[in-house]
Amino acid sequence: MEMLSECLTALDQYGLRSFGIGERGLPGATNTRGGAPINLCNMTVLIGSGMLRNILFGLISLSTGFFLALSLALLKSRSEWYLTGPARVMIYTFRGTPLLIQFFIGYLIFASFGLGVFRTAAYGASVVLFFNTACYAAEILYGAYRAVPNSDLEAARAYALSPFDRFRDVTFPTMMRLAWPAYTNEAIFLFHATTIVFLGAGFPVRRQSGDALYYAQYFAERTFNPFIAYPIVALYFVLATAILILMMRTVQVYLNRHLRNAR
Amino acid sequence: MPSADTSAPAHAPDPAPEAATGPASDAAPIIALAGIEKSFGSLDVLKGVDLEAGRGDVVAMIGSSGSGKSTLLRCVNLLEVPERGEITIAGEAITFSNKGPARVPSSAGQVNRIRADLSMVFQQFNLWAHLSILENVMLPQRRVLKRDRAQARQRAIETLDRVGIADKADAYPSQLSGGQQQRAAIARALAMDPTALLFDEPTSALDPELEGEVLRVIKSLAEEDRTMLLVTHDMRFARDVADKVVFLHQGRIEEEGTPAEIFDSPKSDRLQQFLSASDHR
Amino acid sequence: MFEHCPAIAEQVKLALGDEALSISVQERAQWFSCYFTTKKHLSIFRAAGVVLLILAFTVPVALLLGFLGALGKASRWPVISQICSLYVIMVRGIPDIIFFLFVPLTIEIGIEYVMHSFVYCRDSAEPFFNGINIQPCSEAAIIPTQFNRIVLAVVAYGIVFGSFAANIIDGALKAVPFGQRETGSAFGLSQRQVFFDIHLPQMWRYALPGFSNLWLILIKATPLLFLLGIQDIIYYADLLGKMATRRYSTYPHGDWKLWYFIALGIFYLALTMLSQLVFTRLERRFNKGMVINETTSGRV
Repeated sequence: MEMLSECLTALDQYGLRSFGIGERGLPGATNTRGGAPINLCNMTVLIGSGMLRNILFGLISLSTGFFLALSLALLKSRSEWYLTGPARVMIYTFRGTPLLIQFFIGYLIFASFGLGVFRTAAYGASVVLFFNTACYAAEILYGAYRAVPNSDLEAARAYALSPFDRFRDVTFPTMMRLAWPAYTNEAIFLFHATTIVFLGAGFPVRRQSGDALYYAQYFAERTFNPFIAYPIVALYFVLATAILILMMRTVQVYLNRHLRNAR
Repeated sequence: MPSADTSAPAHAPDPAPEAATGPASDAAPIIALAGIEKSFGSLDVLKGVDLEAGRGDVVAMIGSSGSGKSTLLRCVNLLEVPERGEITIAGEAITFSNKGPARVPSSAGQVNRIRADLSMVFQQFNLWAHLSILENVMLPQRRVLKRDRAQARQRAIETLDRVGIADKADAYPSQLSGGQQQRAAIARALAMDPTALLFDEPTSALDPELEGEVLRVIKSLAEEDRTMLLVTHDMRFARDVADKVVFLHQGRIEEEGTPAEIFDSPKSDRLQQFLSASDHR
Repeated sequence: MFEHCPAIAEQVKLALGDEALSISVQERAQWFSCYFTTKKHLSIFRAAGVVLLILAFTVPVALLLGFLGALGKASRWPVISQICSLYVIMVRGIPDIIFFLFVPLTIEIGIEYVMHSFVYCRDSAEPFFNGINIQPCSEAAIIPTQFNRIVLAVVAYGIVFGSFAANIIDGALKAVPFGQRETGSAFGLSQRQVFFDIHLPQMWRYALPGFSNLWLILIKATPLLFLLGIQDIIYYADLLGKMATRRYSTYPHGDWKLWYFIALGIFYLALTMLSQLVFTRLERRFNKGMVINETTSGRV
């Protein structure tokens, strides 16, 4: 019972700590403002609080990145060089360089243009993640676009569908169906990639409002003990990845609803 | 096709395994199956089948799909393990352990020896995709018969020549037509100098215009007095090459006899139905 | 060869301070050639070499672990097959960076524990595990050197990428059509012969696209070495790119970090481009004879 109330207090103090809401001092902090001691409750709650930020990063960049990805994929599949060229270069650059370096470059560019807001992780890192996932997804969508059977399109042409209708009713649904398994993988990878936002990538951690891994690292360093904090963050990610896969599967079943042995 | 010199080495090793099993096997059939039963899950595919093939016999198995003819063939070289029944190859009985679905051959060595002696030709050719045609024919000779490279190579070229595709020796399977691939698969089987050959619907995966070349090769082999077990859907071919035709229906042998008996005067209704249906194929 | 450097540096430094003095293009070029060959700059080039070296050491470790994982998954002993199954899906559920942080620390603590309990502090009253805290006595505590860190990084990378590789090998082994193996058995080849003569050689073809992809992921994961406290190219780019004042530096310049990181980006881009070229060649070679159904049909 005592344990439960302790944990509820922790939840109250640190549940939204990653967004700067709640107790200022982290557990075990050595300064005078330092609040709670380091225990399992505090660790679980605080790392979970950081997890919310990972999820937010993932959701925002994935959902917005999809539209850029679709545009890039369609540009890349055009025949005009001045359309495919930029799309190709952009996709190749983002897919060919490490995300960490993209974070550094992004931060420095935002800094040199004096874009203050984007020098915070919340905005700046989201923008980099947005471009990054858009380019990976664009390559997947492009591959799927090229794999749409020609016969499907011919049938649509034979019925004199307008180019837009052809895309909306024939190409796009098929393309999404073909791309979805690979897109699921990309979503998982992106979600995992959100963990490096706060790890020395240029974006500063303000008032110790970090993500799950930031807090896990904090505890591991404080206690010199990696065997509790890291497994906690790992478990959170296993759980979140499982939920993500489940959600993506649901969409896949919907996309494949016309096929008999939908997997 | 003249076969005097190529068939000689093909039959040369035959006496060896027989001598090992004793004089009693002299008159014994090459392949003898007794009371074979096999099921997949709740589906009984074979419900007690007896079958014999003597030396030089060509036995054709016919029947509609699902009649169990392919499964029966695969039981002969133990690609499928029957739950009941005895398998005797050239007088040597296969020994089993356990009972029912868990039944397995007791000796992997015996199984591999038997399999090396009964070369199989598959419906889908199953040439090894990563090896050239020549390497395909050489691999089992080298690994199983322990022939050295030169011997295996020589025998491979002989058999490829025998089926008429020696010029394709260095090609990869994917570069060949279906008919050529199946002939290469036959060469691979012949190169093992087996006691008997097993054919599992060797022309079913081929376009009609490619069937002929493969059928001609098989027919020429049949004329050499080789022991052959053949599953086919081609009634004309079965009548042409077989000494004995076996009609399977729902996991049982419904009727067996000479081609003339089976095709000209079928006794059972089922066989009559089956033949009249397949005439229109 | 670089005797002229101090003079050039001094001259340019003076010119920067005095609007009246101008620097010729030739002097600029000389200045840069001197700047890029300072001791500090040579270390960034060496660090790039270390990155490549770590890559070279990681690959065999990862392949070995990958094979063990994939083969172990099919093991007859349930304990081994379950551990290996977990290993194969491990990186799908857990971000790789967590392992990069966790594994080196774990190994370090393992060594410290052995040192603490069996070598140095047997008589010490202080326990190694003190509640949540871990406290090795001062003699047993390891102060990690650059070399230690690099070795531990290779182990961590090997474990993580071994898991990726196991996943790929597992899939590729399953992708080899059953008929290809069965035919081997039908000719009397033993299980072992079927595996080494048919299954394994064909597996490579199916695994190659995965390996190619994995190699690119590995390359792109090397900047994370920075987070393990290794003085890699990012560490030096960060260091060298900082603004250098006239007062403290022989080669003063503004904040060039952006340019340094763009150069790093180009370095990695070149590396991935080169790799893709090599893998395309390899695939063409492995493809010999193997036709795998092309699902992508060209659009007319």
